[in-house]
Parts: sequence; C-alpha cells; structure tokens
Amino acid sequence: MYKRTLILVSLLLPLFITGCFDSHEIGDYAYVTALGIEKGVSNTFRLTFQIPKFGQSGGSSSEEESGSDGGGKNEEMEIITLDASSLLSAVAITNSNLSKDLNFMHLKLIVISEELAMSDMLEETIAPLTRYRHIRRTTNVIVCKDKTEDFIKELKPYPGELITTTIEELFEKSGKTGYFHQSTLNDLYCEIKSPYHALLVAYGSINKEDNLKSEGGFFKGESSIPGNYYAGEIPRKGGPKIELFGSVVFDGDKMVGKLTGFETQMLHLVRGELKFGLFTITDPEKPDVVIPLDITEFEKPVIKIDLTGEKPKIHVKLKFEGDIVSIQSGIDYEKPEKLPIVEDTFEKNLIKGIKDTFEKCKEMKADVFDFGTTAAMQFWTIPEWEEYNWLEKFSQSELEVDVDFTIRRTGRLLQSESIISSEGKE
Amino acid sequence: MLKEGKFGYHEAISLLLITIAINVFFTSPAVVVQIVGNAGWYMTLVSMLTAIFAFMFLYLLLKRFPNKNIMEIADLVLGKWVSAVFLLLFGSFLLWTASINIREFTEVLKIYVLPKSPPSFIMILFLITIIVLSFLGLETIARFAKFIIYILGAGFVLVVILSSQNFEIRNLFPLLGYGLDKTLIHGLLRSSFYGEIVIIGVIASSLQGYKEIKRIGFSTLLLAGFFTSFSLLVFIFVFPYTVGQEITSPMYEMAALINYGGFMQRMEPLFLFLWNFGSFVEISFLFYASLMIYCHIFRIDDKRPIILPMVTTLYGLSLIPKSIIDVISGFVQTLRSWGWIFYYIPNVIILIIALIRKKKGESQNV
Repeated sequence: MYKRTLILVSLLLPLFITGCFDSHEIGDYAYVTALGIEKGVSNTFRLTFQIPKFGQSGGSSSEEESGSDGGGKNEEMEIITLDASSLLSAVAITNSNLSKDLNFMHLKLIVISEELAMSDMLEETIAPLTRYRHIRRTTNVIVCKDKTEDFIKELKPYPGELITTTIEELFEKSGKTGYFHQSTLNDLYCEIKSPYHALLVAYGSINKEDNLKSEGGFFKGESSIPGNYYAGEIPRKGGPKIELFGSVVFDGDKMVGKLTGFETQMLHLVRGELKFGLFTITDPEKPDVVIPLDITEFEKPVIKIDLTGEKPKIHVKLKFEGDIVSIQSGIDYEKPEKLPIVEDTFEKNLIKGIKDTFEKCKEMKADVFDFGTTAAMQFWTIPEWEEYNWLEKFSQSELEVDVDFTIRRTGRLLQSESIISSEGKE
Repeated sequence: MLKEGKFGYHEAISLLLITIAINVFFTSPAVVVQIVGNAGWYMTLVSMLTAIFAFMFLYLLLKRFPNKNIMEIADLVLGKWVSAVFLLLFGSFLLWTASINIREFTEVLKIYVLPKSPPSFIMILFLITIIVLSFLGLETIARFAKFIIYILGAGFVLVVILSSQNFEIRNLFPLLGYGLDKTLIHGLLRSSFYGEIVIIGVIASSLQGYKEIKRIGFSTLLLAGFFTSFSLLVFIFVFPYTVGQEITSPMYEMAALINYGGFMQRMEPLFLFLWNFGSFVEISFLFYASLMIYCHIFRIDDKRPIILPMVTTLYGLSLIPKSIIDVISGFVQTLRSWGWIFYYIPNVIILIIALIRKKKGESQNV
C-alpha cells in the first residue's frame, strides 16, 4: 500500500510542476526570423529584426498584400530597426515597447553588412551570439552588400509559403548550384578560430534590376563565363529582390575579399561539396555559342600536399562524368572521335577556373579551399601543427590540378544532323 | 526495514554503466579537449585500462573475503574504529561526488533548458526522485537501470546516427593531440572517471559471488570505456579542438546541430531525456551507496529514517559551489584528476593489510 501511494504521488507530481518558472505560452513571443547587424550611427551597432505575423494568415500572403510591383510595404512582416551597443541591449529596449518578447528560437538568418564584416568586428558581434541560448548554431549567416535594414525589408516569403521555409529552401540551393556557400553560425564560429582553414560566407544583395540592359546592340562575341557575378549584379528582372550569389572570404574574423558565383562553384568542386550541377563551356569550334553539360562528381576529390619543400605543393585530382545537355552549334560532338574535344575543353576550363580562384584566394591569404585539413594529417601533434602556421604558408603554396572528365551520355539525341535550308545543308 | 535484495549480472552492469558513462554528457568532454586536444578518445582508453588494473585489487579483496561487502571486509581487516574512519571518508566522498553531479546537472540544465528556474527548484525536484528511489531500495534502482538502459542506448545511437551529417573525420588530426606524453599522464590521472566501479564493493552482498563480481566489473569497465571513447570520438568529429574545449555540454550541442530540413531538426529534447534519466540513476546509486556505508558504520539496520536527513545534507553540499566555473574547473576537475585517491587507494591499503595480517574470509565451499 505504502509503495503504491509513493508511486502514485510520483506519477502525479509532474502534473503540478510543469515548467513553473520557465513556462511560456507560444503567443508570449514575437519570433524573429531574420536579424540584421551593421554599424550604427547613434550607437555601436544597428540591429534589424524581421518579425513575421504568423498569427493572422500564416505569414504567407505578403506578396499579394504588398502589391505586384514587389517594392511595396511588407504588410505581413514587422521590421524593427534600432541602434544599440549589443544584441541583448537592443532586445531589452525593443521588448519594453512591444507587448510580446522577442524570441530567436526560430531565427533562420543573420545578415551582416559588408562594412561591418570588413571592420574586424566579427568576433565582437557575431561570435558572442553562440553563447546566447535562444540563437541556434544552425542559423544561416550571410554578408550583405547593402544596408542590412534594406536587405531584410526585401526578404519576403515565396507566395504561399512561410518566410522560414523560404529561407531554408533558399539555402538548400547552395548544394545544388554551388553559386554561393552556405554557412551557419556554428561554421562561422568554428572557422574564425580554426588553424585549418579560413571562413567563407554567402554573399547577398538586393538586385535593383538595373543590370538588365534594354538599350544598345545585341550581344556579340564569345559568351561570358556563366555565373561570374557578385550578388546584386545578375542581369535579371522580376522574382525576389534579394539574391545570394558569390561568397565572402575572411582572414580570421575580417573580410578580405569576395568570390563570384563561378569562383565559388570552382571552390565547391575542390571541396567536394558540389556533387552535381550544370556547367556551360564555350563551343571549341564555334566560340559564339555554348555547350551546356550536366556533370556529376565521379570520385571524391583527391588532395595531396607536399610540405617537404619551402613552399607547400598542393595537388588536386578531380574526376567527373557528365551528359551533354545541348549542342547549340549542331556540330556532331557525339561522334567518338569528337567527344574528347568537349571533354578536353571542359577539363581545361575547370583547371583554369580553379587555378584562377586559387590565385585570388592566395592573394587574400585565406585557405577557403580547406587544404589545411589535409596538411594537418602530416603533423603528429597540435603544437607542431600550430607552429607550422598553415594559414600563413598557404599564401606561398603552389597548386596543380588534374581533371578527368568523361562524357557518358549525349542526352535524348544520339547524333546531330545538319539543318537543311533552300541553300542546302548548313 | 529496507532490504538490499539480490540482483543479477545485467542489472548490476546497467547500474554501474549508467553511473560511470553518464558523465560524458556533461562538461567533462570539453575539459578533456582542453587538456589533450583531439586525443581524448584514446586517452579515456588509457584511463579505462588503469581503472581495470585498480579494479583488480578490489576483486582480489572480494575474492579473499567471499560473500562480504567492502564495509564488512574493512571491519575485519582494520578493526571497527579504523574501519569507521576509512568508511566515513569513503562514504562522504561518494556523497560529495553525488552533490557535485547534481550541481553540474542543475547548472547545465539551467543554461540550456530552464534558465529562469532557480537552481534550488531544479535540485529539489531531482532530490524528490532520489528520495522515492531510495525508499524503494537498491534492487529497485538496479532494475530501473536495466529497464532504462535500453532506451538510453537507443536514444544515444539515434543522436549519433543523426549527427553523422556533421562529422568531419579530418578533425582527428594531428592524431596525437597535445602530445602522447600528456595523453598518457592525463589518461592515468583521469582513471577516476571510471572510479565509481568501486561501488561494486559496497553492493557486493547483493551480487552472486566474487566470480560474478569479476564478470560485472570487467564487462562494465570495457563497455563504459568503449562508450566514452566512442562519445568523445563522435564529439571531436563534430567540433574541432579549438571550439570543442569551449562548449559547456558538447553532446547537447551536437544534438542541437542535427538538421535534416524542416521535419528533422531540434533533436535536443531527445538528448534531454538521456540526460535526465541517466542522472537519476547515477545520483540515486551514489547516494544509496553512501547511505549504505553510513548505516553500516553506525550499525543502523533501517535506512529509511536516514534518507531524508542525508538528502538534506546532499542538497546543502550541492549548494556550496558559487558558480558553474567553480563546479567545472574546481570540483569536477579535482574529482576527475584526483578522485582515484579515494576510489582506488583504500582498497589497495585494505588488501595489503589483509595480506600482512593474514586476514581471510571463509571459503565459499565451506
């Protein structure tokens, strides 16, 4: 009887003490989904909070309410901007004027202004956020060209979606296109303190739609490298105003440069983070048109580093296979004797792209290729490794790249026949 | 009157394994990384081997005095008065260990989950469970441990499998961490991590003879060593040594990093479950062991009247550290580095004296 009473009391007890001090209703909070941090005017930092109004219509119809021009007021989002000395002081000030408390449990994106990233203040601003229990380490981080306040104002959900889903899906594109690098707060924190490699963060901007020229003659000459833009420079109109394209390179916690979308793609290929993707090469026999290729990583990149000499010698071997998606020129590259021409062109393109990106990173003294983790394997102890100072040696290193590309399939056409006009076969 | 009862091989292993291995879920991994860098996963194997060596002395002692627990053996070998001092020290040490573990649990829980709750609130709730478990007796604690270990094991395996998305195998390099010498020295010193194995001597009367104790002891140490080593390995796969040493509860953070898109993220409540139930078993067992020692010293047959006063003492002790820094860098660190003096040395001394004084228990065959 005694034991039964004891068990019963134990079972009932939890019902009366469920979160006495830490209990909160879901409606007690205003959930911040995006946080902008930039240099302030009246205080050290300017912080912008994006708070979707989930309660009214699921935060999903902002596009409709904001009008079709895409530049109207975002009715479903509350945007609060203020100057403060730190995030927590900003939160405290904001909370005093809000009926709800700001909560960062559903924060999906931290936007840092380029100006702040370049000012060597990342350790003081972003790194301490990892200590704050509300902010998850899985939160995405980007560096933004414009004012973070403007960027966050333009960050809107895809029609019919929650803003949180839109942000999550947007970042998934990194692994599919490789044009920007997805990094989380955890990556940021680990990489600014890493003796293995430098920090790489996605680059974002508002596309003001002024790059799409509507005047002047039509494009002539050799096609440009696809994706060789920074965010905000893509010649396009329509769609979301914000874009993520290219990456920002850090040395320690200071931004030292940028990589274009194409360069970021090259980087991802070497890091083994781009498993498949669409690449375009200039037609080797008709340079004014292109051949798009659908490539897949065949083997993981093999990286070897020789540290015996004064300069580290890095050797990268990449293996891809792929399909021809289309041949604009109509030249019969499908023939066995002509396939190697396309394969060679792609290999050379890739080698050049990777080497150019490597040289750019060397100038920035930032190993964003992650070669350091391979170099570390040649050291037995941490003191030896730290004394070698890989991050400094990287700028003296030399790179050799081997690319092996094999075309497996030629799409839905086995061969290209010539077009026939009144003048005969072209 | 509380009877300890008898329980078997599986219950005893479950009880001891949870008691030893649960510590890897708290602040210990970060401290290990701070000391030996990314070599923690094999440093703990050195600790385990040291603990096995130290356990041999306890086993020899229990073999020499079959069907007797360590308190009875101490009485026989050292005499009642010296034995009382010895046991009082050991019992107090176990109670102090339990108090540190409660405080560590409370502080970590406060940081990650219940920031607004006063520490005393968390502790009192925790202690109520310990009181209930203690009133139900050692056999119940052991059977509960056997029941819960499968769930804890499954939860841990799930967290590890899901965390594999964040594994970076190359974090293991440089392979020797801050140097092999440091790894070996700290491996030897931190054998205290496995020190709770000696409680097997306290509960020896509830087990089925010294042969079974030998099996239980070695199996527990090998399993705990494997589990701890694997946990530290997984942890270093996720966090490089530069960051790993900064994190309050690396295993919790590891679970929080799991992200498989919209439907599979925020997995840390799963880990919270492991934390809570593992800690209940560990602290209840430590507390009950010290209760048994205390009752033996003062020849108290009924343990029940002692439970509440002793829990109050436990609560008071757990309030002594000023802050989490005090707990981690002071108390826990001291316990892990120097706990072996209390865990292992008394058994060696008792064995040596027993050999010198030619004291021996009755043969099991008699």
